[in-house]
Amino acid sequence: MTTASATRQRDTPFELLRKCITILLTKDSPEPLPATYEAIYRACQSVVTISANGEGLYDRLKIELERCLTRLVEELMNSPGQRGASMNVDGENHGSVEWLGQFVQICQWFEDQIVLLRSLLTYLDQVYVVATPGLLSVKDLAYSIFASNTFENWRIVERWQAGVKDWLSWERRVRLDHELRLYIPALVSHLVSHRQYANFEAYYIDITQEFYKADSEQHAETMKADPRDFFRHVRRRIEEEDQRSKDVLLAGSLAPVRVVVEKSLLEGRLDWISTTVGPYMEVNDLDSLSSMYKLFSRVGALKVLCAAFKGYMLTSVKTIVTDEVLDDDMVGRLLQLKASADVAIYGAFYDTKPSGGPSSASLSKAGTTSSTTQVPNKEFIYALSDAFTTGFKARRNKPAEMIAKYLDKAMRKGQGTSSDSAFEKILDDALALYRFTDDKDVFRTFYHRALAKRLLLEKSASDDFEKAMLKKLKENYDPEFGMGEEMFKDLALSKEMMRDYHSKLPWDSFGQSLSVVVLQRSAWPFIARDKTIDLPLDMQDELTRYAGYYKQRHSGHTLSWDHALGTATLKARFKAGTKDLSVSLYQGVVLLLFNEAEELKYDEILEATRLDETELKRTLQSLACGKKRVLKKVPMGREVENGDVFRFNADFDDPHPKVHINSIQAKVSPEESKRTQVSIEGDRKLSLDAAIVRIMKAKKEMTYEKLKAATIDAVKNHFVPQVDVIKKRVDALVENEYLERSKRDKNVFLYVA
Amino acid sequence: MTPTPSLLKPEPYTPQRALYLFKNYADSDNPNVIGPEGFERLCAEAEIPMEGAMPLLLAWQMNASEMAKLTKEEWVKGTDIFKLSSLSALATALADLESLLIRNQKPLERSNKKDPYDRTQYWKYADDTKGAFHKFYTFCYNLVKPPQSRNIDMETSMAFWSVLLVPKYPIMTEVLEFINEKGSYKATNKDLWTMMLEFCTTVQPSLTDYESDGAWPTLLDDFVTWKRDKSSNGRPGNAMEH
Repeated sequence: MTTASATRQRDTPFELLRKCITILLTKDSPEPLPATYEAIYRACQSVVTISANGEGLYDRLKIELERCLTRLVEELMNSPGQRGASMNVDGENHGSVEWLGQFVQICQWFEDQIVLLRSLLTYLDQVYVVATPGLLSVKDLAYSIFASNTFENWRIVERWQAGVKDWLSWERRVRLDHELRLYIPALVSHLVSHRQYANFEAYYIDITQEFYKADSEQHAETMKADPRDFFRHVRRRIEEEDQRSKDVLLAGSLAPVRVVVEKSLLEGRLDWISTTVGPYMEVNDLDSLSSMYKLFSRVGALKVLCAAFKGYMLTSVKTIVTDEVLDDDMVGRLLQLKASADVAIYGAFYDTKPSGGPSSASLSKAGTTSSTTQVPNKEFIYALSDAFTTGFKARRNKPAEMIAKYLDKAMRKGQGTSSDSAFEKILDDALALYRFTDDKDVFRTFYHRALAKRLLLEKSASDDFEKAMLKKLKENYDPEFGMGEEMFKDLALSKEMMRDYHSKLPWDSFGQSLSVVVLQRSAWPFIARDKTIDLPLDMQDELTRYAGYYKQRHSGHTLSWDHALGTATLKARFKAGTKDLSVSLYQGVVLLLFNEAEELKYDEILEATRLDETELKRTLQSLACGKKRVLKKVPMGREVENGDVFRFNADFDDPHPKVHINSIQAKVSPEESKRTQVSIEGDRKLSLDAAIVRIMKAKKEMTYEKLKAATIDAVKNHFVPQVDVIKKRVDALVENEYLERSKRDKNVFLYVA
Repeated sequence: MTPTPSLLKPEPYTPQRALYLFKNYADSDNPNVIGPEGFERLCAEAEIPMEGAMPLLLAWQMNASEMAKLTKEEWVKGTDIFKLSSLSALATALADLESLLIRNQKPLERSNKKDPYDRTQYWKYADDTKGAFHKFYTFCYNLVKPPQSRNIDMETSMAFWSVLLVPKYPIMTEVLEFINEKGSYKATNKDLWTMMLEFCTTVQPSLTDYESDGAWPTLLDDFVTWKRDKSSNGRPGNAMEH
């Protein structure tokens, strides 16, 4: 055979090339190449340059390529793609995925052959193709024929799509890497070589959307009891897809795939998911909150999240302020809520920006390596503030009152072992709540009264903190807190005057134990009272003496005594020993009566003290019915009746040498609150009247509508008036002829000079 | 006491007769004034019901300065305008005004027959009954208000409204019912008095066009809220029956 062929006439170069092309383009060809690469290369040179038959060769190549593709497509279409039962996972048929392997293999083979062919046919490319306009190079020709037969052949497209879909669905369903996953990046790289990746990506995105729409539907149903489960599911899904994209797709596909995943999972469920804000905040789950913020931010739904946050805050604030049973803990609960909201805002609801100027640097978290800044989202800060402001309106006046009382407690207790700055933080946090209330006047009134008591009864833990607090209140919140300075001035002056007074008395005189505090009425929140109690004569004498002394120094001033605020320390001799009793002046005066008598009837005490009866009953109750009974009441009982008889209780004993007897007064604080509220209402009427008259005096005439708005504006720094109250004040001013209704237009009021 | 026959007879007007009529009812201790007693007797004998609007119309037309009191000067001026000097003519004149202004009746037909009194004033009112009533209504407030006071007590103003407004404006019945039920309104000032008539004349009885945030006095705001609550409470019951 060898001899025979050797003797045969040598093929023409063209014929040789034709044969070689056929062999090269036949997969698993049984025939070896009849010539060396060098010889083939030369043959091509000869055909193209010597025979000038580039055209014939080119056409031949085209025909061979078409034939090759026909064979390849046939092979692909006939390939069942099944390697056997082992590929069946979960009983599923993975033939379609298997097929991808063959496809990849064929692509690879083809591409390899073309590389070779192209080198062998260099002269065709370099001489003929270059010189002939409109012709594709060997490679481009081959690829275009390959593409039109495979990527543009719907039968093939269907198969690779089926393979990709089956693979992807399996991975998404089983949530593991498919055994044949490696085919996908291989496929991708061939698709890229053939510029077919865009179609693939579009298809990938399509099926992703389809899958996740269904997935979202299904999970929303099974997890409808708790959107947090669903949210966790969403987070996991997004992570999985991100990872998969990184593993198998081009980097540019990461973002579009994630967009479609998020959109498909979340569409129509954002409101539902956002309801988890509350539950997450309750457990300080910053990780979930922050992930939710980022997610909502990416899908452009921060408004939804912010609304949910605000809704949660508002409901919580309302619940707290209207929970009358827990009024005493209102401020504590509000502070806790506010703190958790702040944690969420600064720890989750922020955007990260490259740090700019020094102004934003303060916000950056210490320890972050990159130079970025966390900027809390302003909308959330506003929402927080809105929620508190609106929530406080659910209960008029009360939050302001409770904040004032909370501060009172703090100022009495003092900083204890905590540092200055820690204590200041406690105060500042409470003041931050005060900012949210419309009822600024309520806060001021309660704070003022409590402050007055603290100062007079020396219950305040620290004068320095009191002064610092007043300064802050005055400068940052309400200039009317300037009255605090007057109060301190009064106390200092009184002390100084007392020292002077005592220094002028004999050292052993009764007057040495007198202490008087002179208060300017305008700076202190106490109402002038008529004479309330008859003091024992020697006490009264001391007061008269002091009054004389005072008059010498301040002839223009009038002193009036407020005994309800007075205190006294008595030495009492009981069987068990002598005790110092620290009591209110009322209690003291009543007790002193028992110096003269062992036993006194209620009526006798009443006559001797001439106290107001309810006041007297309260006082007796504190002495005879409380915990520390220095008087005995006959008959026994909790209430004091007109027929009762009182005796000195010589059997009284107490472990301490100094005994403080609480007056019942302290216990009736709800009643006192109510009285304060009433006086605030009265003050508000006056402020409204004054504001209306001031406005009308300036404007002379105004429609009711405008007057109303101007009035609300005029008092807004103190309180927010109710519209019907304004109208009543206008009615009253019309009646008192400060205003009159215009005859031309019933909606217009005129100022009456 | 029976009236003097000559006073009842529809004699033609003379100033002397009018003066004679005055003297007949004047106070025994002050002949220049008809006091409350004389006023009441005058009304009784002229068959003018005391509880209606006619005594008020009389006071208005005489431009009286006090309730149930007429001075000689007021009387002379007033009777001269209407040219009346008999009780029957007086009664006719007041009945005419009442039906025109209070009962919203059509004005009388002008005829050639001689009128029982001079109706010049009457025709003027008939041309603008709304304006005439407004004047009358305003006059009543000043008539009834004690001179030193800024307002009239609620009970009195309710009595006046029931005479002046209830016959003309059905909604007033409900307003009075509301004030009674509330019981907390003490007095009526000039503004409320004026705005009450304004309310009756301008607001639909259904109250659909009432502006709750307008400049109406509080009492009217409260009334409207009360009435709306009432009708909304009633509605579901009605709906069940259908």
